[in-house]
Amino acid sequence: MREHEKPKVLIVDDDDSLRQIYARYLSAEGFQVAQASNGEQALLDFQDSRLDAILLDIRMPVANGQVLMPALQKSHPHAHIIISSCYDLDFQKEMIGGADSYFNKAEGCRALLGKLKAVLAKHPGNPAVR
Amino acid sequence: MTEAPGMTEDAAKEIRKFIHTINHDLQSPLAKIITLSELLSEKLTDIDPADREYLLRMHENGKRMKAQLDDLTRQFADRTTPR
Repeated sequence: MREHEKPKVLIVDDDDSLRQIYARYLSAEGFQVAQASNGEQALLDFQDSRLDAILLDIRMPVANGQVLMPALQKSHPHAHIIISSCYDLDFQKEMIGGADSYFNKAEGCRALLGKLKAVLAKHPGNPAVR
Repeated sequence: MTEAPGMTEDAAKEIRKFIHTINHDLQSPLAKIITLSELLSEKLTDIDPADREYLLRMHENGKRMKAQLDDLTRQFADRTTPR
């Protein structure tokens, strides 16, 4: 991520209303936000885009997060991946290998912002270290 | 073998599937209630204190319901998971 650029985050979630809520909130907080409603769209539409972070819903139709994560890690090795789900972390342990962080949707937007800033601050401008 | 006495593995599997579906269907709207009530509370800075209290109650009750749902799911998972 270059210093003068806003960090770019891709939100991949099949829940339109939650995705739009996050997009609006993060835009207001200074992020560039892109959206995809399923895994296939995320891979096809953003393959060549610079992404600093990806908020990836784990349960989606058409390539869920579990299937999608290895492909995204390959196409965007510098992007930090935050897995998002409605479930508690302990229900998802087996699904989050390789992700940088985990966001429970019930934590709200402020918590999401905190997690995004934390992963971006950990390795600013560097490839994601997992 | 399951922890619940007399329960067959097929029955336990059905119960796990049912709980998973119920959990999934309730968690998503709950996340929206919690998220939107938090956002409204942040955005509406100039509202009547009683109205703020309503928002706060909505948010807290959403979180309480989420905690109860998580507990329930864990309990059913513990009771019906093969050891």
